Amino acid sequence: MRSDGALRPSRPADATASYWNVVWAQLRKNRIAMFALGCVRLLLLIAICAPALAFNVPFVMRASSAWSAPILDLLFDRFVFPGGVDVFFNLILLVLPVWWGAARLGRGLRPADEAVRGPAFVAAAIVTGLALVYLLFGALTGATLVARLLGAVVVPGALALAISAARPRAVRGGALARARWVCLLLFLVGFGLLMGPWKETSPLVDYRARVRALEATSDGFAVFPFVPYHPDNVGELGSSTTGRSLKRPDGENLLGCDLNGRDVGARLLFGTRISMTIGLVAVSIFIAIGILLGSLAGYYQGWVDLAIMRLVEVMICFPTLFLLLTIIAIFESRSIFLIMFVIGLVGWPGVSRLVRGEFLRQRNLDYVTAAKSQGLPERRIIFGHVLPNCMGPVLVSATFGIASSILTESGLAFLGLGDTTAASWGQMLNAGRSEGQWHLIFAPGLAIFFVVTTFNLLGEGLRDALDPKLRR
Amino acid sequence: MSTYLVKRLLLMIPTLIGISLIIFILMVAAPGRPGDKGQAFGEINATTDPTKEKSKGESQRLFRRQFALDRPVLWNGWTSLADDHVRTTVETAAADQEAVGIKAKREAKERLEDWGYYAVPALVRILDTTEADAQSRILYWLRFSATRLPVQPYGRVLDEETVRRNAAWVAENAELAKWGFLPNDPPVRRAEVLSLWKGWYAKNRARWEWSGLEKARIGLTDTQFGTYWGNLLRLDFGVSHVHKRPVLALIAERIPITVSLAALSILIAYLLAIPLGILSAVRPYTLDDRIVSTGLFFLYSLPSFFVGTLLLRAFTVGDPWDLFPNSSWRGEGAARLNTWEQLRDVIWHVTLPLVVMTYGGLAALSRFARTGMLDVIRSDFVRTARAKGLSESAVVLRHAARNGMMPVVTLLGGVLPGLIGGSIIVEYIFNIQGMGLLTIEAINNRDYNVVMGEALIVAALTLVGILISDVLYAVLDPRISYK
Repeated sequence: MRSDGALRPSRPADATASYWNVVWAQLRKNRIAMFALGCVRLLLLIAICAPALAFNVPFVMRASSAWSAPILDLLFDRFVFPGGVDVFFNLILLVLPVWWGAARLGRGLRPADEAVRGPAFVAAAIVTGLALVYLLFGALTGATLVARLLGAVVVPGALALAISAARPRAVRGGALARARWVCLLLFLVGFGLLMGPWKETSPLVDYRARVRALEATSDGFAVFPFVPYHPDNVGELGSSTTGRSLKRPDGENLLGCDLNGRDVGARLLFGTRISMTIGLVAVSIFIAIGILLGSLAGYYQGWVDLAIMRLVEVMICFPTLFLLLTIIAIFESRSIFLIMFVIGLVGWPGVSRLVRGEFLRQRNLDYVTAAKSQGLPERRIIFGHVLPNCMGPVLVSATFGIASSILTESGLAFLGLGDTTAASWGQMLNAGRSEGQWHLIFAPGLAIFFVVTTFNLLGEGLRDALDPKLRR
Repeated sequence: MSTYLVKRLLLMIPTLIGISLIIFILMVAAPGRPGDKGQAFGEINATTDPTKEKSKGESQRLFRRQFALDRPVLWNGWTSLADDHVRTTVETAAADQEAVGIKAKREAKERLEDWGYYAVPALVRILDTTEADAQSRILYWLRFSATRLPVQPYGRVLDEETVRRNAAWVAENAELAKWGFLPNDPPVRRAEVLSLWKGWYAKNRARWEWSGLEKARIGLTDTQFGTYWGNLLRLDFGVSHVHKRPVLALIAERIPITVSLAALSILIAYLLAIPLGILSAVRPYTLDDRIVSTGLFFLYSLPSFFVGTLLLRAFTVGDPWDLFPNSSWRGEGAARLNTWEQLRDVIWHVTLPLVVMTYGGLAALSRFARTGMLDVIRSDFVRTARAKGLSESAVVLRHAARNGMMPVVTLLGGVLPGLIGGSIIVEYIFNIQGMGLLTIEAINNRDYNVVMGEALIVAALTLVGILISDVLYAVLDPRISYK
């Protein structure tokens, strides 16, 4: 989010400030909402950095005077992180520092340096890319050929994204734009390679046991993440995990362990990924459906409106959880993506009602008439002119929708009808219920409560910021 | 008022149709149902024991017949099957796997299976025009198709006519089963069997002679869609294949528990929310108001399954407390107690579930009550009432509250679906034998008739709840006239 938009000094007074700038300025005055926004950022950061916070593999280690960074190798290992959600977030984790750094670099350039910017970025991209390829994969003794290739593809792709993130306006035309698209393509190819089944996997090693053994005999050295456990105990022997079964919180496992000896803290951190993905993906789906149907109903009225509104009425009659259960009942295996999709499929009626109402208000205003008289295609009038004026309430309901989607997913997982392979908070809570252990109930329960509260607070803040009556 | 009611009731019909349509689409889309295609005939050739094969194939077929899974989804055109179509299908079903591919072979077999009785005329006709080997294949399918399965819906009492009809069918099936020949039987035997079949068909020809109207009726009704709607209109949701009982009876047993829990929790939520809302709206932005608002906000965000689990852990296990029972809505020997003791027993059992079901609605409702009151309390008529010198309580309760609570009443329709949905979680946690628990069990057992029946009933219940809240609104607000 571009935080400095509204307050940029070069802009003239508020008279020309856009609607969203005003809303943002309003939101900034609301301390609770800003706190919630900070919490959301923190949650996203935790979701992205989960393996850097909780992983049973060290960042760096020295064994028999050879240095290595096993975490980089195992970040995309099919056995260590089998889920698509984890692969996606791990990729972002790899790309994020580069992206962020390039974005900072881009902001440092003055507007006067317009002529320098293009070449400067290309040079920066090439240099940084080469450096990163060398750093990440070339120097690692254990790195396989495929890993090197991946490094060569992924890092430039990431840089391209970084460039476009840094100066979206500067690269909108000409050769640089084309270069960006090529880089994006390379990035996607790299992503496909990462997901591909031909990724070589290294044999699983229990690094904690190995480091302990090394420390006892020689001068072994390793830096582990803060929580040195994998959410599913991948790489550890069954004998070492059964000893931790239902362990109470102590100095070693800060939040204790569950029945299978999995560290609750690690699972909690990785659960953030599930919750954030559920929230964002499910909400994107239902907002998209809701906007489409609502705008059609509101713009065309007549029988289109009648048909869509009957459908909305039908959908509202189903209690969400019952409908979800009914849909989910027909599927043999329930992946987390299926759950997201179904939650998105069920949640749209509220949004489409909202959008329809806004369209009904807007469609007879002068600007719509003007657009029509200019002979603009209806598609452009609906989505280019009217829709942007209806997005305020949609944004609020999307924010509340994230909270309710996360709640719904947790509820499903709690009932044992979610994705059983994902480290979902609801599933952890259900385990706590059946085991009757306080630490297994409180940790996931409070996490769900915290996330839901955060998004609800943000939603309230947004609603107030959008309300002209409350404008200060 | 009554016209309004009638209008509302009539408007419910398209909504109900829409609901049933969605359920139907879900049912048709359900992959991997028991008795689904691919499971029916595919593996039968794989097993070696012929008797087992037969019984397995037959039970699958019975199952598919019972649930009308062997019928086309929307339109049944099998009343006029073309001879050539049937012939090629029989040939494909008998052909070498390598020649036609395993998929085509399986599909042809399944198609013949599904056609069943409808294929008899075509099969008899092509029997005349075929020779030797092909004839025996056709005869195999003729025997198969002519066999009518006496469907016995379990868990139901059959009327006499059905029993008689089934007996006749079984007798005929036994007779028809004998009319086959082996590949190396003498030609005399072949001719005999063929003439038997032809004679039988000529005698019973009327069974397959339909008028145009009858064809249209079969085309529409003897389909999955037609069967579904026919059953719905008779309020027949099918039979649970786990409980071996009609779904409606199962649900009827559970409805009172879920609905009374939901109604009770709505009642409690309203009784608490309205005074709370009024109290905090009377002194807006004071410390009291802030505390109440903040508390309610956090209550609103607390997931019910978390609170339920915490209460279960704290109050039922005996560590630290053992104050309430941890399952069911009444004790085991409750039936023997007198009314008063029964009531006490039920209250003791449902206290925790009610708390879990109520607090969320309470939080939402009192937030609404507060905003509703705040809108009203600054309006002119309240100022007028104050200026008249009425006491503060009269102003607030009689003038402001009655108007301010209108939006809260309409909220009933919105709270209800959430509450019934939430009952699933509460029933799961406290092991209460209500509709929610039935749904979860049905999903785990792949008991689709129950799942779909539940969804239908719950949606209908919600519809009724919304209707009640609308009517209530009309009754409470004299300004609105429904003419």
